[in-house]
Amino acid sequence: MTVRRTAVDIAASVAAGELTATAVLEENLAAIDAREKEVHAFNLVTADRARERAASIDADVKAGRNVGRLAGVTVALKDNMCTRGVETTCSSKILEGWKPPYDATVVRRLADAGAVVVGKTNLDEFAMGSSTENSAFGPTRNPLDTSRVPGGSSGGSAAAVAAGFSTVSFGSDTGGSIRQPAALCGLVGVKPTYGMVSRQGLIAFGSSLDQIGPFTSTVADAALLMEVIAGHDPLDSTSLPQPAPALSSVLSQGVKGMRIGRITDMPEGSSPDVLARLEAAFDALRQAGANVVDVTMPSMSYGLTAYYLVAPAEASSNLARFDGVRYGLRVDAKDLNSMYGDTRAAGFGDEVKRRIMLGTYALSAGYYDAYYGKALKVRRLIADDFAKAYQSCDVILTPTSPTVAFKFGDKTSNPLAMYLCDVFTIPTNLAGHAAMSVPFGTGESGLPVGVQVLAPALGEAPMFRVAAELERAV
Amino acid sequence: MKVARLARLHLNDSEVDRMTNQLAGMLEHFRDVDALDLSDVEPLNQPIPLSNVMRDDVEAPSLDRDEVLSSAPAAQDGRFRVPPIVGFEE
Amino acid sequence: MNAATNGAVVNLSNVVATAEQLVDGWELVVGLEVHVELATKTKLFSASANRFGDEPNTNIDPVTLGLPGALPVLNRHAVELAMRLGLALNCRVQPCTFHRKNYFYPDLPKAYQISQYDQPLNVDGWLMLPGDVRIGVERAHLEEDTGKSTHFGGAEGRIQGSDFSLIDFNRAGVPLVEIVSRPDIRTSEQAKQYVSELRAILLAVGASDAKMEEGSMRCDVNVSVHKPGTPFGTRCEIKNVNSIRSVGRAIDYEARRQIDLINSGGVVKQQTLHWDDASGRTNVLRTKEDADDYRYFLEPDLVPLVPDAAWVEQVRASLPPLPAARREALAALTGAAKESEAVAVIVERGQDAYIGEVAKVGGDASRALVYVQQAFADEPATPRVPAGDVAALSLMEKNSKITSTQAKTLLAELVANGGGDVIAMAKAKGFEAMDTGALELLVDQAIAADPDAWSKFKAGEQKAMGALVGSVMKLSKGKADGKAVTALLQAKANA
Ligand SMILES: [Mg+2]
Ligand SMILES: [Zn+2]
Repeated sequence: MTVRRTAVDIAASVAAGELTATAVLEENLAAIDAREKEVHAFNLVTADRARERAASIDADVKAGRNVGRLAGVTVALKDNMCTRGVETTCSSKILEGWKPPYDATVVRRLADAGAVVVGKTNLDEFAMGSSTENSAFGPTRNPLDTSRVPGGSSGGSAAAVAAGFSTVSFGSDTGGSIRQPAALCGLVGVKPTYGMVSRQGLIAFGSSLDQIGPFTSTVADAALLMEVIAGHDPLDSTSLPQPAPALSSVLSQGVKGMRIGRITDMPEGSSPDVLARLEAAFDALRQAGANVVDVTMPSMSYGLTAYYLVAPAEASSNLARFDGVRYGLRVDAKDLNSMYGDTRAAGFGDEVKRRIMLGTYALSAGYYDAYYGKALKVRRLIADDFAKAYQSCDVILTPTSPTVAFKFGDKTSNPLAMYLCDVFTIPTNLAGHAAMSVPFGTGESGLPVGVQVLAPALGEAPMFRVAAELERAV
Repeated sequence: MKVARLARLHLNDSEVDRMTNQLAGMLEHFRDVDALDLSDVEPLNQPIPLSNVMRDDVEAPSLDRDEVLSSAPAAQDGRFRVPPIVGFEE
Repeated sequence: MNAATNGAVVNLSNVVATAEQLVDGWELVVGLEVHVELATKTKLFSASANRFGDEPNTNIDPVTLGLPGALPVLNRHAVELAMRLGLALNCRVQPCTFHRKNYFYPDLPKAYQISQYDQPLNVDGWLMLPGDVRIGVERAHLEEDTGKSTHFGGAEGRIQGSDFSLIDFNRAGVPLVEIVSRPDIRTSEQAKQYVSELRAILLAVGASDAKMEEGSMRCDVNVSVHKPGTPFGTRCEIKNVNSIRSVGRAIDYEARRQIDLINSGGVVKQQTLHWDDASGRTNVLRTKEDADDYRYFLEPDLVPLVPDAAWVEQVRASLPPLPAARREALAALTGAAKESEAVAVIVERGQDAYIGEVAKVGGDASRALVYVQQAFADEPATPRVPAGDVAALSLMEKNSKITSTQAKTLLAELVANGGGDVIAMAKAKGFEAMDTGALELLVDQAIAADPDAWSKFKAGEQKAMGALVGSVMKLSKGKADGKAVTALLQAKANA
């Protein structure tokens, strides 16, 4: 494998004419040739399009035209982001072969910045899962140990960067789907503040929770990508009315005097190797001049319940449009209702069906108050807990995942066990806050451990300062 | 199973059994929140409070009909075709 | 959406029918849900065109089609038009939210309709019918329209027994306001008046073109019957009532059906019915038991709409005078009754301001009312004929320079040519009214020719006058003014 280059380096070198976009791309395509069969990071590799795109960037550089902040940076896109004319499936049979007639806002911004898309990555069907085992097209393997999962649901995007198939990649995070695979694959992964990055063109799972974010090898790359994709989009009503925050410039500021929260009543169940790395992270920040302060999050453990009612409820409605009428799969039947039922039964996998049923139930007459309504109230408690905690600290540190990457099949038989993977990541989505996972050494079997940096809404700048400090300390 | 009917999912008997069991298990687990006093808690629907997000009434070009219909499971005369509608109102 | 009128058994209204309004001793209770398409350029949540009659599926975009990943963004102009309507209906405009109403149907692209549920934009208004009958308006909320299904095979265009259906999404996402009345209507006549007044208001404030024949205004009618002083009966909802006349027919039919059913020992079941205009009867669509569970929840892709006081007041200030006030003004100006056909028609056409113009330049308002009602049906609100021309015409007739028949002829010519010099036109047609001297001569001639009639007329037999006037008209070749002739005959008889 070639030395992994960073997006910051590539963009600077390509723009300066010291490196061609084509050369960068060919390195990735060679890596894909060598290992994709084994890893299965992609649903689709768009090599031809990528070569054309790289060549046109190289031509622009030669002609002295402006090539954008990501010139020649190769990206892989989770296959739930709409790409005009390029198959977008959500790893579901129900959308197999569908070519959207439009681009997601993030996809357009990446193209405008000179990025080169190498393909669409595998995911748990409709982003429902934590291991990428729920893909209708087969699981993705963790490139660091192919007997293990890469995490999920954005497992394909994490694996693509970890295997050197692309410089960076993008995932979506509804309850931890960027941060957990980032941790399990040794990458930086960012879940931005809700509304920071446009959801237009992101195929919805839980609309009030979903955010797109980057996977990168370095904190600086993540900062650069955020600066490109964030900022107001008039096509998304929940998009925050402000420009992308400046993050690259804060990375060298250090953490002197910053207050780092440690949750004293954290949910249990994390493995000792993970907890040891978390302690090491607190030590490192303390040594860099930060103060570690105790905070409490009494409602944190109820986050799982709130999340597994809110997200499926929204999903049950979001996924109702897959009805065999306008696009995607149709199973022919004698009448409309049979067509609906047969199409959806054949098109959706087990986990998706389970969540549609759960969500439908939580919203149905007579049960709304007991389930969905209650979940929204718990959501408020969690947001209130955070608000209180952030009165005494700037960011909070937790593990990203309770364990390092686990083996295939370990949790597939028990949905609840799988859901527990997200106990630390879910509260952020419920509150709409920012969070990121930073690799911080290794644990069991030499596998990477991620530390999660939590920040309040719009707290990206302090969050990136702390992440950069942790990166320096490893 | 009413939920499957509402969600338009045709499940076979064994699927219904399995799903019913799993859902019952999850709902049981979700009763952990019964320990909380939520009587005075306002529900939180959207994490970031915004209001009055509107667009101007300006027309943009339509999508190309042929491109859209080419990805439809069945189309005819510029429209989407569906099987006979039975048991619905008109 | 009809949370408050669902299965009403409690008397929600203090409106009581008069004895004449009862049907065989039964009181009718009617509420209306009227959907109107707003006159925007684009859809409620996206930028493709809101245009009737285009080729199928040519006004579509990712939001309209419910493509994966598409997100709604609210149309400000639609909100403003809905506010205009709400304020014209005396509603309170309030902070509001959007919900998803979940159900599967092929013309509903996302499998949910974005509508307003427990917090609608406009609430607690009213509308006044002739005779100062006040009908409450519970709410007027924003929602999106569905696409259009057309059924093929089987019986002509009917869903039952069809082989397949074709879907056009041009109409999907068109902004609608659903106006829900309180159950304050007691007769089919009032229901028709309500729809017609609502339509007049919609046109006046420019919220909708309100064309029932094109479906831009659609009525659902809730009907129940009960004995006065007892709780409301079980209601039935009638769908697909697509003209004002049908509103009346459907109510009369349904009330009769319910009364007959109860009288024969039956019980009215809460049902959704379909009005079949051809056969003049209602058919059952579904009964309440199998009603869908819509699983309403707050639309997470949209944010609350909070119209601030300044915006509401700005919209209120921009409202034009409303039909009721305009009818009153026109009646006062022209001397006609405010509930007369002419006044209603002209206000509906928006031509009342034009009559004001005619009066302002010295014309005769009461004649102008007749002219405009008769000859300006195909003219716009501001007719092409200059107000001065109509004023001149009205004065010529009023001052007996021409006869009313001649005035009619000249009016038709004015409309055909978009105006003209009426004095010159009258001259060219030889319409110059005869002077009194010449007329007297003809009157004497007529008396001489028919002395029998003359003596009868003098004896007070009015019928004889007709014959005399007729022969004067004949002698004058129609140029004589009938009124002037009568006046002359009268004067001679009294002399
Ligand atoms: Mg209704
Ligand atoms: Zn409606």
